[in-house]
Amino acid sequence: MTEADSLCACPDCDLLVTLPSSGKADHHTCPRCDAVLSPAQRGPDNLALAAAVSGLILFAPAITLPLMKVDMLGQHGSHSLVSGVGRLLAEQETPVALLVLLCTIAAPFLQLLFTALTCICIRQGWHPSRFPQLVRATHKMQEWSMLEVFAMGALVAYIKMMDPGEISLATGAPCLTGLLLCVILAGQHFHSELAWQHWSERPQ
Amino acid sequence: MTSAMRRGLARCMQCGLLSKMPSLGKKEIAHCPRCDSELYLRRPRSVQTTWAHVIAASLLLLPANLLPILTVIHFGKGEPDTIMSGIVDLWNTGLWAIAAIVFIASIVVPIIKLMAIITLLLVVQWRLPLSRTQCIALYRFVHFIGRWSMLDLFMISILVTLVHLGNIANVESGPGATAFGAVVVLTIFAANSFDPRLIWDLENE
Repeated sequence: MTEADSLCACPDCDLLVTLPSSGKADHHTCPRCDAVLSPAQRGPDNLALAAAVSGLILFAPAITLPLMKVDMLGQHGSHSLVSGVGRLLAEQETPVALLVLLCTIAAPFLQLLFTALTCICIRQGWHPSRFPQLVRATHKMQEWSMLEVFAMGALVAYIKMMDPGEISLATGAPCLTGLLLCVILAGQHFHSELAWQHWSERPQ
Repeated sequence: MTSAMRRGLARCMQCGLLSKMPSLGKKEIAHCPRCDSELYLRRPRSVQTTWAHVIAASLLLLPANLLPILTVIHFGKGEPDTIMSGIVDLWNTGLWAIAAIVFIASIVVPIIKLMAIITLLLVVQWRLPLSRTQCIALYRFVHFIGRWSMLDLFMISILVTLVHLGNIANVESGPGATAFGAVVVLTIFAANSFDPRLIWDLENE
């Protein structure tokens, strides 16, 4: 692969670009379509690992504790992520329940777990044979994890319900906010290029 | 300016490694030397797959908007809400900002997304005279905005659980929610199956 070493193809427009081999820490964009060719490398993904581990710790309380409570004429209702999925399942809305489960529980959890595993492999210099699948799965899960959209939906529901009932945020809300921050940080500071570089340096 | 394809080089869609595309027999598939994913010069059958997803999503847009997605029962009485009537209700109660957010996320975004993908497909198939930079901006917009249409579904999941107060008030989800979820997922698939490099290939011909 000597020819391709300094060459790079733009992922969006397939333009062949010669990247300067020196100054690897620079941020390079495609001259034709402005896509990111190689993001500035910020060293080992320590922040991603820290965020992923913190997120995993926060995960159980964030999804099981109630986010919101409503009191209406002495009747109480509460919502947590898990109970939301459970209620949709009870209402026979299986496809919607599965979609909510995937986007707000399964994908964020797996994203954090896979990010942590990948970072640990890089830090420890491990090259397990399943490493490529791990990096690919991390990327896929990032795509399906939609906690930030969920948070916006929760905000909309909260304001929508302020009028008819006495609605209040519950203990799960700060946990979910923390989890959301961890998921965003883990996504932003995880560089798959670094992971692939680590994989290509494995002893053959 | 040459594309990598002209030089017989393929970029791995998973790990980004550039490698020489081997000459293949009819049913052979090349694999990336680094991560072992399948290696293509262009995503196979990208246009057809994208069309299939777009058409399915457009058809499902009808039940998604016409069928009720939510029924709010207050003291035993309640009307099923479609997406639009829910927005109108919010607007009438004076919650304009929320009405606008829900309107944008659940009606404007899915429609604009589908139209944007159809435009991109037409540019590739019929060579509509659109500038390449506009097309790529459209492509990136579609990718960026896609997930936000999920907002309504999450809101439904919150409301049905929260407002489950026996006879006083109750919220139930409706069949429109399933159709709407399918629209969102299909548009995400459509955006993912479109290969943006096809737009730039036209320039090189």
